[in-house]
Amino acid sequence: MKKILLLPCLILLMLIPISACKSNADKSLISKSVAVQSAPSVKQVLEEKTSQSTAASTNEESENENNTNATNEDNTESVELKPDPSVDVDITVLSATMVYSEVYQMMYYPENYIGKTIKMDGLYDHYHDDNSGNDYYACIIQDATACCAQGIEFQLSDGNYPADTEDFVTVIGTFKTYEENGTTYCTLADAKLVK
Amino acid sequence: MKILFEYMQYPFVRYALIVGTLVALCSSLLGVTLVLKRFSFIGDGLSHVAFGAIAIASVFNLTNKMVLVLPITIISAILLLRTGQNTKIKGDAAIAMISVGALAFGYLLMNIFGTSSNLSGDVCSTLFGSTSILTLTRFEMWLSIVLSALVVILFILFYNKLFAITFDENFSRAIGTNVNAYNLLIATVIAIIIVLAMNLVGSLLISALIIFPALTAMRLFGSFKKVTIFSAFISVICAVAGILVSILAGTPVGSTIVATQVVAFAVCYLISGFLGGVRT
Repeated sequence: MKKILLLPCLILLMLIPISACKSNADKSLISKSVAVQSAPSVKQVLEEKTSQSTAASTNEESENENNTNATNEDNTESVELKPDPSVDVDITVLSATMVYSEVYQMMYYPENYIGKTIKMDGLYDHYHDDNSGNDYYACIIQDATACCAQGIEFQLSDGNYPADTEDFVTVIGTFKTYEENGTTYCTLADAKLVK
Repeated sequence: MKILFEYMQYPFVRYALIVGTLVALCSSLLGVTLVLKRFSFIGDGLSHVAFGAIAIASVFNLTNKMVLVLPITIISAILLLRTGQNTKIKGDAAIAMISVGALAFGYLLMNIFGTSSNLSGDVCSTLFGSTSILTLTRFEMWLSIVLSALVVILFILFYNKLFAITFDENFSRAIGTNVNAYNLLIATVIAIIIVLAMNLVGSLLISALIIFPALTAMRLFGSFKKVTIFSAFISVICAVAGILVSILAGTPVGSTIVATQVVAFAVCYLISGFLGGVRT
């Protein structure tokens, strides 16, 4: 009897976390394009939160002026992500684990990111293809164990690429894909380097 | 907390938490049985077999590696567990043989016939599961959910029989229980769990998911039911905490989960010391 009662309860408990994944970001299982259209970008989500917190912070600021010394001593200001508002996806504010996962998502589901401005930082790499004579420039990120690495090629709008001795770059560009020799590649087009 | 809430907006983070919770739950349920049957390292052995199967699947360029990995792992689990206690080659030796053999052949095949541009990275990622759980596709997530639900349902339905076989296989056989069939069931379920758990913690750390929750629960409780329930609870808590900490701190997911389990074990060990031993 206990088993008969316990089984549906356990199934119900398992369904609760599953139902939580039916959020605004990925309601559609049928069409990825529908999911893309309905999915809020990271920038949109963070902008909404920023606008909400801004209204609240104006009231807080007047109160905090009287308690500046105490605030500085306690240092209780909450930590939050502060992405660049000028781009759609700012990977530079994410933790190393999240960065690798997000770049993986870009590689695996590029259609969700096409046309979006991406800001990322990582190791600078330059590759020269002797067969085609083309040069490729990429920003490489590594996973937490540093055994796996992946990156995205970028194409600077001014064509002024850094020297090969440059180790680390921060780049902003528009995500797009292109075909070369029958293979689809991802790149950050019209990119620029930022300090 | 704000950062955590913002990270939760990413679908792959939610997928990781869902699958991580379910895998931790399933592995802890069977972990108690395996620890008591002295098959603690079965997870390690089967994960190495799964690694070998992944290598074969990579050589054949299979899109869905699960088609090959799951059957091979199930067959290996059956070979290891179905024979039960009355076997010429005892559990630990059999596990060691199959484990190292599969690992060696798997790595050999990947080196000779591999097509990956980053062999070391693929091997390392499979062995340690640094970000595998955060790179699940939607299909893999649903497959994990279905298989996990199947494991939990089977465990609940056959709980009494599993209990009897765990503690006294010969007596169970004497009273008419089809011990071979239930050993076969345990083997199949374990294989499924191992394949799922490889995404969470990688091949080398899978044993932790099986061993630590059971041993932690045994510090505090004595009855099979209480140990199983607390094992499931602590396993889920550690998995969720491990995933969240790794996301926030940028650490490898698998090792962070195992480190959390070690801390939980240490805490429960200290608590049992204060309480004066195990409570039945």
